[in-house]
Amino acid sequence: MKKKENAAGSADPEQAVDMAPRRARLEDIAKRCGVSVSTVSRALSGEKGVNPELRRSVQEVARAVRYAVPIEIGGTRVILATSRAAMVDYSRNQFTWYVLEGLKQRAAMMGIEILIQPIPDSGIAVIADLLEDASVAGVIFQTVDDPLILDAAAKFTKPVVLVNSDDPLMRLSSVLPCNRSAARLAADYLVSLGHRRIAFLMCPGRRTIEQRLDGWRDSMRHHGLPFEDALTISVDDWLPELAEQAVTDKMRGKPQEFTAILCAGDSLAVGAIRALNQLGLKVPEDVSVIGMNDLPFAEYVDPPLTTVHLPVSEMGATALELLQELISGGAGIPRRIELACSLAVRQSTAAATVIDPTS
Amino acid sequence: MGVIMSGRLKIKEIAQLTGVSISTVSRVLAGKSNTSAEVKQRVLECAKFQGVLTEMSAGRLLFNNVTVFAPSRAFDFRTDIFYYKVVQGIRDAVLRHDVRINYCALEENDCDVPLFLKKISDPACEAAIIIGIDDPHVHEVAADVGKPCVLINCTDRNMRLDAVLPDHQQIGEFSANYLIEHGHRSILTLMCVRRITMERRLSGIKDAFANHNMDFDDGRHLVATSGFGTAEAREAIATFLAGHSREQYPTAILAGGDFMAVGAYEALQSLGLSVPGDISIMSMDGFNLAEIHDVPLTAVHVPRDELGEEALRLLQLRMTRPDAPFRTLLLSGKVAARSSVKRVGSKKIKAAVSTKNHGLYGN
Repeated sequence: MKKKENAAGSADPEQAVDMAPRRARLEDIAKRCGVSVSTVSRALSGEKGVNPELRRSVQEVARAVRYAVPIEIGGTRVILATSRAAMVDYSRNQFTWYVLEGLKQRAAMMGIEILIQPIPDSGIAVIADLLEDASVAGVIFQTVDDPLILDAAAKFTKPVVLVNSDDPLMRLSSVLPCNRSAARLAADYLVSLGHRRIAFLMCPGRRTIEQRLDGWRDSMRHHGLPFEDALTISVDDWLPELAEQAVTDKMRGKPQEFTAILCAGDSLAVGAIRALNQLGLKVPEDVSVIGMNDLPFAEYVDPPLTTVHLPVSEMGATALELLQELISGGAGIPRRIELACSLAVRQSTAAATVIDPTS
Repeated sequence: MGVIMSGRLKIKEIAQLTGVSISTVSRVLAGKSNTSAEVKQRVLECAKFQGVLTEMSAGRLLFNNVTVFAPSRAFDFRTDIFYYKVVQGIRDAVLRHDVRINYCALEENDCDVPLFLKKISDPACEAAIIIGIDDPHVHEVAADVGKPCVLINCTDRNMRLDAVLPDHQQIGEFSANYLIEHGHRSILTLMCVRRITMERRLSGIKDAFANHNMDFDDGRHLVATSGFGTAEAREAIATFLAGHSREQYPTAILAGGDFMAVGAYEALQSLGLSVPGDISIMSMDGFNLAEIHDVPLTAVHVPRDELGEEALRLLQLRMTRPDAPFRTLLLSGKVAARSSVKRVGSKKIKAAVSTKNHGLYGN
């Protein structure tokens, strides 16, 4: 237990605090638990590879010898709190799964352990309880819109980051796709193909989806094209069957009003294509269809779906990085981080053959 | 390996974050080979985050020359205090580093693109910061040249450049919501809508109206000015009120800046109207409140001084991880509730779409 000395001969206080007292105490704990010092170190820092029961008894003993776990050493476990909406995404189209994958990969690189905790209907008291543990440094909420949950989360003393939603009261930081710009990008692409009457198909409700509607409108406005309500098609849920029904209802027995459909999600695009085919219309020759998401199944749609790639796994990784910055006191003001999206051009879009079907 | 090492790197932090011992971290950073590849990668990745990204004062900036492109008015606090302070923020952030800042004035639109190309291509320019320039050709050239480049208070339509801005849309929505939750149903917005950033703010304001089933008609609910000055705002409000009867007066004015709010206040005063007794006033700005003695102005503070430092952190991130997705940072506003806004009506107005029985602002 040597104290490091600097050139002037006096002990460097930071090094002394680091090396000497702490090592002695780790040895105390190790002796009492009958394990090695490195095991104790791993147990207290939350690193993987330690039996949970052993971890608990090491923590008990640490408390008993009043071993002060510095707040930084606790920064290695993070909660991922998932909403019901997130879990529905997970089972339907794996959006949530990809966010989680990105998060886990980044966590592995940073030596952080992720604890997944679904949010019960009763609220987030269970999350608050988990945060009491010194080794848990913060929480990421996935796809949470409920203002009551956001209110409660804003009161947490440990850092919080939202993924795929935002806080209208600007208290909490969040990571999202560039929803508005992504939709605008898709609409601009259709316009560049010569389309002048472009419909927008969505499941309204979530703020992030309203942003996509805004993006479509931005593009139409910018190009002097119509964006009246008659060009919007709404469904109650992100299901291909509902999209198929809605598009059929919109078009059956009427003259064609648009030459392209911008779908706010790939799952709706699948339904739209089915509806068009049933109506005897070919995609993309008669009507172009563009989706949003670019989850792997987009390639296997018939025809392969042109869509906007949303950086889903990067969202997870970025959320963890942002949380990390908040934990270490780096980032100051709460912020929304919008990640850039890009076009994945496949075969469901083509040049408009009819300039104005209503003329 | 490309990792910049500095004696000031926080070895202790890295050890704690990666769950390895301090001696292991030292060994990895010293380039010793007796560590597993996985641990080595973990430590180096963390070092990049910790030493280089998290604290500018601890890590070494990865560039020594940065060129700041901005409208010429940004370089004089008398002509644009907002941008002047942003430039000041950049200077403060590089203070402890060996970084030279070059400046180049450009127009907001219809820029001298060849001039821009020449300056950004100069070998002496290692990184670029572009402030308040909306010309898409400039953005395209910047993205094509490929040097680390960050936009402040403007965005690239094609999302090929990182950007940091105040969250104009949310600030607009929040501000309008604030007034609505205080019972106001007749709100007049007083803004300079010249730039896309201000359009975003107006878009947020309109969203707040829509969420409460209130119509927003530009003719009735918007007074647009060409700038942010007091005199013009005063005249614009005076003109508006002159064209309306007393019953048609708004119950609140939402102003696009503190000085505009003062102008509105002066217009009301000259008509014998009191604030907030007769009409409430709120501003989206918040930097000049100390100078305004007439009325303690309720304002939503628009982040400004942090933009420079955040831009530099984005540059640093781009240089250490060139493949990271491009991102736009939207910094939150914060309300400074003082006394220029009065609650009207006896009931709290709830958002039409909310089914929960709560007030957004807890009062």
